[in-house]
Amino acid sequence: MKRIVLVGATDGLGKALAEYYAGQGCWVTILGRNPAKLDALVADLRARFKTATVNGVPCDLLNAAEREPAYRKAIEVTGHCDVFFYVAGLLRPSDGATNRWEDDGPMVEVNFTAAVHLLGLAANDFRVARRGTIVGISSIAGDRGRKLNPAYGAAKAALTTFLEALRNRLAPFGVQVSTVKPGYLSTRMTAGKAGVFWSAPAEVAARTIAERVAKGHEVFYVYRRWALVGLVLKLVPRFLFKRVGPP
Amino acid sequence: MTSGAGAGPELVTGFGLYNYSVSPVYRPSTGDELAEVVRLLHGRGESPVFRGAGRSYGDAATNPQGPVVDLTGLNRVLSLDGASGLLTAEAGVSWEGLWRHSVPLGWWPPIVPGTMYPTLGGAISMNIHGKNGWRAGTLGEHVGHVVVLENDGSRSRYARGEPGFFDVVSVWGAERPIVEASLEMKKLDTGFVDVLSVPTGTLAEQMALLDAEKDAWEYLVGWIDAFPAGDARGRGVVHLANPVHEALPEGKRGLTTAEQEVRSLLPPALLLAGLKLWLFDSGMRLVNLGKYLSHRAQGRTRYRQSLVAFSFLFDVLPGFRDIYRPGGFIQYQLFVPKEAALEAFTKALALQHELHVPSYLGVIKRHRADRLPFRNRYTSDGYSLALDFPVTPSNSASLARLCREYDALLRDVGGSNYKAKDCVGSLPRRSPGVPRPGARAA
Repeated sequence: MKRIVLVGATDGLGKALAEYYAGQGCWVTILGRNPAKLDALVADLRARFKTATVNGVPCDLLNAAEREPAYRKAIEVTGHCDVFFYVAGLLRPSDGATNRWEDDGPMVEVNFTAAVHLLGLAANDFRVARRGTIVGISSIAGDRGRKLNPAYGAAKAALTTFLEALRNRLAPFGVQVSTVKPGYLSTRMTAGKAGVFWSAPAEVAARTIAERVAKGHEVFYVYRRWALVGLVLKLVPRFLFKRVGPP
Repeated sequence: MTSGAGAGPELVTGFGLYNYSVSPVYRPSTGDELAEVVRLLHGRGESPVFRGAGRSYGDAATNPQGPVVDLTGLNRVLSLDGASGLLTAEAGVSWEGLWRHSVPLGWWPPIVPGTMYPTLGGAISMNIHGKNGWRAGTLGEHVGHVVVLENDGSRSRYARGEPGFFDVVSVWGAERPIVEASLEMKKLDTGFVDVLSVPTGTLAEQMALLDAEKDAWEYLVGWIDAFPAGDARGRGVVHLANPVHEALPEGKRGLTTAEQEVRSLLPPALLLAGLKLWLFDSGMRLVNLGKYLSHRAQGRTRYRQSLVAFSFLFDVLPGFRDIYRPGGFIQYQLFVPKEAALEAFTKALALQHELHVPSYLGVIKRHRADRLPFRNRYTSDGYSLALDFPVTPSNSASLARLCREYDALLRDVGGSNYKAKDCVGSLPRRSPGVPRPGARAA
């Protein structure tokens, strides 16, 4: 009977979350950029999970004017929303040296600005309703400023801070806000990339995330060992991080 | 009181507390204020949902995509014709408002819901039924006329049977608010009913009894314990009632509000706190068993009750739904033609056990088909089985599946479910802003 809205779920982790919740017989509404892909996924989930109610709402997160109407539409077709997931993420390749606004702009927009927009709308509704759960998929990449992809890391850091602030703001209203830092996942985002390790299959990550969110966990990594990595990263002094920090 | 432009978002729930929306709520208290609100909202291109008391279980009176206009401020009884019994009232009046007005004048509504808090307009829009479903059908057959407010501020009046009448009554969610309606009331000799309570050991026995007694009694309702399986499946109690017509002395005829008033022996808050302690599967199994055994021990009993006490049983505990917080509860009501009903209900009760989501309350009624061509017809010459289920984190996946199984079961036997009870999206959701066939553009 749970009603789930997933922003950015036509691929990877989002898609795995959609499958997990559809398998639980939930009402699942997916916001996705590519209408054809979205329709195909919705049709597939409807066919595989007869007891679930699955809907898709097209939304290009890079277009600010589409975001609020898509949010309203998603809530309308879902009836109400128990758990609102922001899973959308954009990672453009970087050579580790050149800043390219044509990549950095969209990365900041999808990883942070659109999240502020959509999660802000959900937070307003949940505060009035005094119920609901907000889940943001952030990243360990935001734990320190790493040289490989500054805009991506900074956008994720901003998302983490935004989620923490929402959590503190909404706690008195009984609204849960969870920040997930998945660690490496075996998805399109990491496919073929060098230096990827401990990567979790998307369906394992989805199940873990759903279970921890249901238990009320507020900040977590999919594999607990990533928490240790995150801690070490944060403890390395600045002068040392500058010299030997990871890309 | 908000009637102007600045309505802030509020939590708006269905009766079952499970469905909700966060919507700007407008609360006009006069027809002019309502017209102003409607004009304002349509000017902004918004499609409001018109809400009565919010006593439909599901999403009938919530609006996830826009504003809600609460009509309970328009609640005056306008007239009651002493000769014909035709009562005319604003649509936001509650059934409590109706009986408090009409009983002292010797009249009773033709059909009443199970609690006294719904509004007249909401009941007409959902076309409710009562315990006299076999004799009286659904409410729409007893409505003299309705008046709706058009988007341009004008009013349209439709008498029963006119084509426009069927765009208002039983449409399950109106594009235009009902502002006034008339109801053909029943003359009362007294304000009492004589009740016969009969314990029944099985579902088949209960349904046979409801069928056999349907012409001899005006009000028939069966309660069943949905927990047991096997031979005891569907054990319960049937309550049969007829109005008391005998001449009673003046002042003892039950025609004052004081004589009708329902009171519980213990403070309701205490009763609810006590009941909440039992609100889990095995606890409710014991509560249902205890209720059944006490009826069984008493056997067939006859007693006299006020119409209000008999009709609005649950209003003894006005906050009873709160014990289901925070998850809320849903009701699934299956309407099945008589030939298929026993088999379908047996299967429905078995399914809830298979999926381990036992119903905490089961109610069976006997119905006849509507005699008017309503747009949404849910009754037939048959029975209904209403099952209440709590919504909890642990049962929610199974409960969703059970509802889908019930949808399939109803399709197989040619039955229907009913929007006022539906909470789970098994009926097509209304889409605000999309006019439906028969809707009039302003």
